[in-house]
Amino acid sequence: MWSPVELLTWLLGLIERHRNAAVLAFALVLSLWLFNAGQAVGPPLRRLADMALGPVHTLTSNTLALLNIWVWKENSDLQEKLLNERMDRLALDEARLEIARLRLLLGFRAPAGFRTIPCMVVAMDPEPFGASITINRGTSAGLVGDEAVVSVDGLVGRIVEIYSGRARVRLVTHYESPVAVRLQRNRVLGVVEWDPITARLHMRNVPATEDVAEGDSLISSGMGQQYPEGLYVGQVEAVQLDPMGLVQDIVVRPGARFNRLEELFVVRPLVP
Amino acid sequence: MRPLLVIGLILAILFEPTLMPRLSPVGGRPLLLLSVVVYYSWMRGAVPGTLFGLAIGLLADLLALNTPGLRMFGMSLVGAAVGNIWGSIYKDRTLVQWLVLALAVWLYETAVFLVGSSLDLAAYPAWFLRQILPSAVLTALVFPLLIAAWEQVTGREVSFDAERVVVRL
Repeated sequence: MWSPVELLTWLLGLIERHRNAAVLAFALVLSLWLFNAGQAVGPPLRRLADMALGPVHTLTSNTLALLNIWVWKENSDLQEKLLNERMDRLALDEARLEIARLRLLLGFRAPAGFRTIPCMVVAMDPEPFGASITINRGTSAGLVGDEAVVSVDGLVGRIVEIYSGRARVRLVTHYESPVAVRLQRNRVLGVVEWDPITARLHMRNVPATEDVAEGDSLISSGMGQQYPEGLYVGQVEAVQLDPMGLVQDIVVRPGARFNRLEELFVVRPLVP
Repeated sequence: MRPLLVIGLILAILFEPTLMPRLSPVGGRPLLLLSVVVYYSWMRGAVPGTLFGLAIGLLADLLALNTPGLRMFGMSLVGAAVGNIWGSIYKDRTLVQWLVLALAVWLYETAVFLVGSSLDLAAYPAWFLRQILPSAVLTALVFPLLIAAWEQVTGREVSFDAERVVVRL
């Protein structure tokens, strides 16, 4: 039977003889420990990292935006889009006034709508297991920390960590970022989730009896209180029955272009 | 660590989360921080490489929203693996650098995939084609091309075949 001193001496000798393997084992064990304990230690560590590197990334991103040679073409496209939107807006204003009159007649309460706060992406992490971005708005812009973030093309994600001048947004292409949705055409409810293995958004567990067609638009339903109601999420790309024939697996094409995120909007619901 | 490696590290910290995600239309992306770990481990050996990979992995984890540990795990492994071959190959050949960087990306992404997916081997082939292959190609191109461009512009030769980066006139 070895004494503790002999055991320690043997152990130190073993580490000395296999120094490379011992250091690697230490690194891997520490990594896996952090991987397990990450929910507790992650946010405070990231706050420190943001204090150190956040302003540098904001500056770099703003400089890169100034050098963006595609911005001129985009500007021209946006002018054209704006003109079309203005024409649509006129027609919508007419319809909105009519709806308001009808609501008044029926005694319905109107939804309050949204306020949008423009922001820019200053850093991106397109890691397939958990995509996230950093935006240049934080508590100093009046944000509280769980707002939805959208682009002109659709829902992007939700703020999950907030600092003074920046906020971290977990994208809907994150495996822990489900979105409660409904089909705009026939109001069928469901949940859209990112599958990192197939790299697709899926709307799962919709009964086989429900009518779902390719091209149907999906909007957030407001269920689950994660995202406000009425934000465009994407459209149905493919529909297939599960092997048992009971539910449908619906592949969703997101509206937002996640590899081209630049100017975004934080959505704050207005209180009615 | 010598100035050229420090410059590489600063460039990686600045551009990996800001510019690089915009340069990856086919999926995957250039892994600049991993490249710095590869070059450092290549010059210094397994133990410093592993510890450097651990530190840079922690930095990469903090720049992301993911649970800390995933990138640390992968980069420590790469630091150890590349550090173990540091004395056995001629490092100044661009082709060798491409090959080692591509293999390092393969090792890193595979480690991240296996830990992140809880060993979902059935999904690995699709992951390899969609994520690992584009990342390996893009990563293998960026740093060797930057070094070649720097050599062309300054007329000086950069050598990694030593314990530090050597710039020859």
